[in-house]
Parts: sequence; structure tokens; C-alpha cells
Amino acid sequence: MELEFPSREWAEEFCKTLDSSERYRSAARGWRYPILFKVGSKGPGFVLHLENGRCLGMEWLDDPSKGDAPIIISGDLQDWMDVIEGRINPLTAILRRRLRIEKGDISLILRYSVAALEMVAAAQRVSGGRSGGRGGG
Amino acid sequence: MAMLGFPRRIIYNEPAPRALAEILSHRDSSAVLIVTDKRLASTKWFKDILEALSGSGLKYCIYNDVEPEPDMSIGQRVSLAARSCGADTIVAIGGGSVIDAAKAGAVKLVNPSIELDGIAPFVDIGLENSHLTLIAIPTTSGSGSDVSYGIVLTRISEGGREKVAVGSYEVIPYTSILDPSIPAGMPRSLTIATGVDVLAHSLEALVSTGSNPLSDALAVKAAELIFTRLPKVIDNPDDLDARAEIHLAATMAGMAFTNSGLGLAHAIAHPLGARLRTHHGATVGTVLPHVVKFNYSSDQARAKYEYLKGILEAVVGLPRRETLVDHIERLYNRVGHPTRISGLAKISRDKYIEIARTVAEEALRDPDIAFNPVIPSVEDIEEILRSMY
Ligand SMILES: [Fe+2]
Repeated sequence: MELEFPSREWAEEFCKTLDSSERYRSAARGWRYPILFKVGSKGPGFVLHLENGRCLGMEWLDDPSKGDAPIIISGDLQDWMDVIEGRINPLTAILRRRLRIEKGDISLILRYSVAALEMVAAAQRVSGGRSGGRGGG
Repeated sequence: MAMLGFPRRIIYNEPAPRALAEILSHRDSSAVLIVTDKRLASTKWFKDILEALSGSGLKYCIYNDVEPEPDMSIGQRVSLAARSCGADTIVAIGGGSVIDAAKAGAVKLVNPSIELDGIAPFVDIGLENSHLTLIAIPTTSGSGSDVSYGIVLTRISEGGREKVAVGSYEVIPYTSILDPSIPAGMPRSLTIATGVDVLAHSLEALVSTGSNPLSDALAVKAAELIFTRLPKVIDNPDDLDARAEIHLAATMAGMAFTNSGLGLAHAIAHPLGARLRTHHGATVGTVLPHVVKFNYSSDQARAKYEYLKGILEAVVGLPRRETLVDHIERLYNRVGHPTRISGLAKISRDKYIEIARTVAEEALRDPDIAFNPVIPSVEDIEEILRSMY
């Protein structure tokens, strides 16, 4: 699979890949908050309906300012690419403000750092980049 | 890219009373709050520090109510003491708990409305833009809190006690004063437990996904100092030269992990130590070789472990061993630190296996796990836990 980020197809495939990842499911057990991902200042963006290690659906937003979720993470395209392609650990990207938590509780996100790493591994599979899994980051 | 943070000054191998008076003479301090605990406040060298402050004509107040593993309210209590003293300088004299209490007090003093558990590297606290000076005089050679960006506190709720670790570059003390005669008074068991904690800080910082050449340099040298000097002070507790280097190694390892990260050994040791009621350093030390073994599956981690192993064998002259794990176990045997849980805590195998799953689940939620070179599953962690009884 090789899809371009960000696109509706990519986001749909990302949600499916997450939903079928055993490792993500185990790491994200107990998580029940949809996340809005925003790319750049104008968008696009998408909401993933994440619940208890599953991805139950994706909502594509050409204009992400029209969407909402309990957790909103935004970043420039290059910063998202650096995370997806494994050049920077997603938690490091957040702690260094390259990805911004516009809404949501940072301590909650830090408690699910392994789930975040498994999300990156899944994103790499969708983008056809490094075949993630163990040792990502 | 990396963002690195360090204290402005480190004063090494100098009597603390003189070093503190000297630093403060350049700081235009109007009043100093000393943060410590009751036991330390009764020691001879503590009185020497007070005398040096009086001799320089400095006004000081003392807050000596820091208990081990202080809860979140400590920030408020220390900041109130600082305010009523009119202090513009806070001097922490103690181990990790005392220094973290002073950091929390400094945050609350300049920013009374901030919630301590909401501190994060990208949250502006206002400490750096204030006129408050934070100075640390570590009395143990372990936590690295004198140079670290972390604050570890305990949250007490109906569900029990839970450790909360937060970090900000703004809480790195302005100065750390390393007087080796102070930790020389540590009992043997504490010397070992804090020493193996330093080793864990070094080895976790070395292979963390946040590592960089600068943190690597600090981590490798700090680890080397523990391997060579810890046996020396165990054999001869009065060897002040070896003590001094271990004291410095603790600070170097603190700078290493502040600028890199920790990893799975700390993520496991936090919930495990809470269950077993064992000392943080002793617990993380026992977990460490098992995590190193696990991390050997990462090429990047293995290369760095082997680099350190090469230094230990080719430069320091330790006998050749198969892996770095063997060197760690050899060190533990030499100084008398357990490599297995059965030697660390009084708990039966059955009871231990019973708690392993819960501990693994809690370890998976520990923020330190984010920077481990291998992402473990909860099953991986449980397997590590089971194998180390
Ligand atoms: Fe530690």
C-alpha cells in the first residue's frame, strides 16, 4: 500500500490499519477519545474515532476549523512527515512543540505513548515507508 | 534536532559552605530559603553552611519539612515559606525528594495559579523570566535532580499513591554544588542503591530514542565511572576521590537523561517499586540488566551497548565478557546488589507472578517508556517481569 499523506484515502486506510493492528489494540486499551489531526494552518484534517484500541471511523475535513474532538493535534506538513517517516519520535515532536496539542490533556497523552508509537508504525505501513512495528522512532 | 538544557554552573569538589557563599555573593540575593529535611538539618556540615551564610551577611530561612516522596502540596508549602521569608533564592539541600520539592516550590512561587501536574516542556512557567535563583546541593549521588528538568511528586487519591513525573527546562537549577564529603556519609546500602540508579540513568539515556552525541558522551563516561569507582567506595567507604567521581557521575547521568530520555527500566521500576515498597534506585538497578538484554534486539541499542563494553574492556581493562549484561551482573555481584527480584524484596514467587500483569500494564502507561529503543507490548513487559524473579 502506498498512499499520499494527507489525503482522504490515506486517512481511511490509516484507520483500517490501526483497527487491524493487534499491537495498537493492546497498547491503546482504555483509550476512548476521538482525535482531530490538523495539517498546516488551513488544513486539511481528519478525525479518527478511536475507542479502546479500535478505530471505528474516519471523518475527513477539508476545513478542520469546522470539526471538533476532545483532542486536537496540529502540525505543519513537514513536521507530520518527519513523524510518519520516523525521523522524530511523536512524543518528542509534541514536547518540542513541533506538533501542538491544541486541545486535550498532555498527561493523558503521555500515558499512551506506546499507543502513539504504534500509530506511527501503522502510518508507516500506510505510506509504504519503513515497515514499522518494533523499534520505531 | 535536539533541544538541550544545562545548569549555568556546576561547582565540583569544593566544600559546600564556601561554594554557596561564593555563588550568592555574585547574585545580589536579598534572602535565601533553604529547603531540606529534619535529619539533614541536624548535621554538622549543615550548620557549617548556615554559618557561611551568616558570615556573608545573608538573611536566610529554613524549610525542613520535606518528607520522602513528597505529595503535590509540597509546592504550595515551600512557596509560602519562601514568600514569608521574602526569598529570591531557594537552596535545596538534600536528595531527589528535597530538590524536587524546591523545584515545585519555585514554580508555585513565580506562578501560583499553575497546576504542578500540568507542567510540560512547552508550557511557559515564567521561572526563567523571574528573578528567582534555584541552587541545588545534592546530598546523595543518585537522582541527578540537581541538573535535571524533572519533578517527581506523589499524587494521593482514594485509589492510593501514584507517582507523577513532569518536566520543564525552566526548573533546571541555576547552580549545582557537588561537595563529595556530604554523600560520603551515606550508609553502604544507600551508596549501592543510588549508584546503580546512576548506572540505569546512564544506560537508559545512552540508548534512548532521544539520544544525541552530547548526551551519549555524558552517559558513557558516567557509566564508566560507576563500573570503576563503585567497587572502590564499597571496599573503602573513606575513598573520597572515588566518592567525588561517583558524585559527579550522578550529575553527569542527570544531564544525560535530561537531554535524551529514560526508558523501560524506569517505566517498570516505578510501578514495581510502589508494589514491593522497595527503594527506587535499588529497584531500577535490579530491573536494568533484564531490560538491557531485551533492548539488545535493537541494532541501534546493541551498537551503543557494545561501544561501552569496548571501552570497559579495552580502555578500563575489565575482563572480556559476552555482553554488557554480563558486565552489569559482575558489578552487582562485586558490590552486593541483587540481579533478581527474589534478592530485592521479600515476596514469594506466586505472589510476584500474581502482580506481574498489573505491573506490566502500569509500566506501559509510564511516560518513560516512550523513549525506549524497542517498543514493548504488555506481553513483552510481563515476560521480562516473570523472567527476573
Ligand atoms: Fe532513577
